Amino acid sequence: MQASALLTGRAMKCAVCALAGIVLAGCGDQSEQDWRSASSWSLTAVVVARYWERGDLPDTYARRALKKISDELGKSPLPEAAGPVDELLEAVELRDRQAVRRLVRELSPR
Amino acid sequence: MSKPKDIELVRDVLDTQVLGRKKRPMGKVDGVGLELRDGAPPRVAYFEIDGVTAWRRLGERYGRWAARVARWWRHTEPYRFGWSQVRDLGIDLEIDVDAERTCALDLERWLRERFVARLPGGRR
Amino acid sequence: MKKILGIALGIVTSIGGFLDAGSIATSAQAGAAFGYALLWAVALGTICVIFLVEMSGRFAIASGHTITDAIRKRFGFAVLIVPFGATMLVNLLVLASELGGVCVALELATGIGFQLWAIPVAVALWLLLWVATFDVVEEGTALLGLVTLCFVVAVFTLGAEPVPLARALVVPSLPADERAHYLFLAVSIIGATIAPYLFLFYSSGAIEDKWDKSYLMPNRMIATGGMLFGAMISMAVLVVAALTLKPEGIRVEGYEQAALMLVPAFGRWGFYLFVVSLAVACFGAALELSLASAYAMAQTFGWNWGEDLKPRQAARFGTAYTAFIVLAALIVLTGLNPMKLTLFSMAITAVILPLTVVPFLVLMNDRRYMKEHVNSRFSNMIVALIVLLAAVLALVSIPLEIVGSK
Repeated sequence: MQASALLTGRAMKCAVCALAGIVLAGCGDQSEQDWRSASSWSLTAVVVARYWERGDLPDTYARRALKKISDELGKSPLPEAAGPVDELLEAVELRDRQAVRRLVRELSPR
Repeated sequence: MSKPKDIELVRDVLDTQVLGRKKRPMGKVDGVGLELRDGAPPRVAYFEIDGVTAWRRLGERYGRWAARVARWWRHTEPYRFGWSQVRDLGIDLEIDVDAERTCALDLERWLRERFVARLPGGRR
Repeated sequence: MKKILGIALGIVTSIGGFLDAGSIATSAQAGAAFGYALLWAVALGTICVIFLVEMSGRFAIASGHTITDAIRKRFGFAVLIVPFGATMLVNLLVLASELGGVCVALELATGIGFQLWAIPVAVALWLLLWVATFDVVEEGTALLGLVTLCFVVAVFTLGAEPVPLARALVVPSLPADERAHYLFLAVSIIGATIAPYLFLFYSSGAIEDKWDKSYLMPNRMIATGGMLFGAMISMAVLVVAALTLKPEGIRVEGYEQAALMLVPAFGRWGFYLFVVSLAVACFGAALELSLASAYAMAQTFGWNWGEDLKPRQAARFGTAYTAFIVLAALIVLTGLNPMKLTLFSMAITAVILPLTVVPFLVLMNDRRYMKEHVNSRFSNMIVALIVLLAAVLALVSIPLEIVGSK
């Protein structure tokens, strides 16, 4: 009687630990997902700007894409990343290819 | 296969597509009505085409709900026909009936009047 | 001679009509996130769909029934209603995804928000079905759909190495990281490739065109050729995404990111080719899906159905696809992220696949319907295995994906 009560106690603890583990793993994945997403959006902005500067993308698309990216980054764990994207957006709106080229160079990883 | 002498009701008739004259689809055999007789084996009284009957096979509740919905297009009774009207039983069940005159096409007629005719190109 | 032309047309329209929102979204995401690694999922889905489509044609030829009609006759209304209901629900979601795809393409091209396009596109879709002859419409959009071959051209232009490609096609692998998302994508790819509406629709077409025994070989050729070459376009989307988006660190979380993938290969043309491909592929799929859903209803309840019937002659049929389009448009109007909607509907497709495939496999082995053309044990096994695998993976990965993406 005693033994089974102990076992269920331990079994319960294991179950709770496992559950907590799964939830935490999920949450952990969650923030990693957010970072990955933010990084992806930032890099997208650089590529959009680079392609636009070369004349490979229409103005409407470039503007809307950069605006959307800025909004997405604003909601991300790193809202400051929206800053450079807003600069890119401004430069694109003013059709300032020089400024875009400069910004892209500054923002590129290498 | 034309009109056979022996058939298996469930296997060959139930849920089979019914075609009227000129191969006009009328519906499926949704139900079979048997006449129970004392001291004699049951006899097939009629075959039935009715969406409500089909839903009722899932459960009484579904049957009642289907009946209520069917009243929207003034469909209150099932279409029934007998073996004498059957012309051919193969992939489909062909019967010698003018489909348009039966209540099997109540929904079709209602939608045609109320809906299709009111939309552009619906009167062709 | 006429048959050969028929086969060629069948294959060409299958290729042009293969790509849709589902395959574009899943392949692009897969390539951008995992490189070539998920090519095996496309291959697996393709093998399965080739078998299913060929079986679907063979079934129509041997039995004279469409699949839906036969499921009702063989198993009864109560059994049919389950796969029927599930398929209708999923079809609606997928139709909304296709509609969303067209609207997004228009947004990319014009800058006008995708929700604003929902009603005009839905009306255009509806009008085409209501007024025009389906044959012309379907074949027309499928031929236009050949523009999606641009992805295949891009693979060559970008100089993809064949060896790593071939390896990824044949050898499945699991990444060290992001396993839940990887499995979810694998499942979505399979769901996108093996859409139930595809092979159900195919059997309806075979019945309408009155295919007889002489069509057994043409059927095999159209099924194999059409699906194989069509799948190559899907794979091309994945490879292009792997070559142009992954190195930049761009993940495809929205169609606007996927739109960049053809630029390295074609310059400014690349952007427009993507937009046109997306629009045409999704519009064609939307047409087929609307029809397929109406066919399913008609064949379940015994209504008049057929490609060239005027709405007056088939009021229930016409009302059915009208209702579908209206509901799908409403879903797009809610502003739900079209890409997320697409991915989830693909994954859900994989879950409900067994509901349709299992009764179908039973029919394919029933001599009363198939006569001497019953399935081989091999065909049964392949299809059963792939479909069950997909369903199990889907049941596991969908909840994990939901947890992972808030």
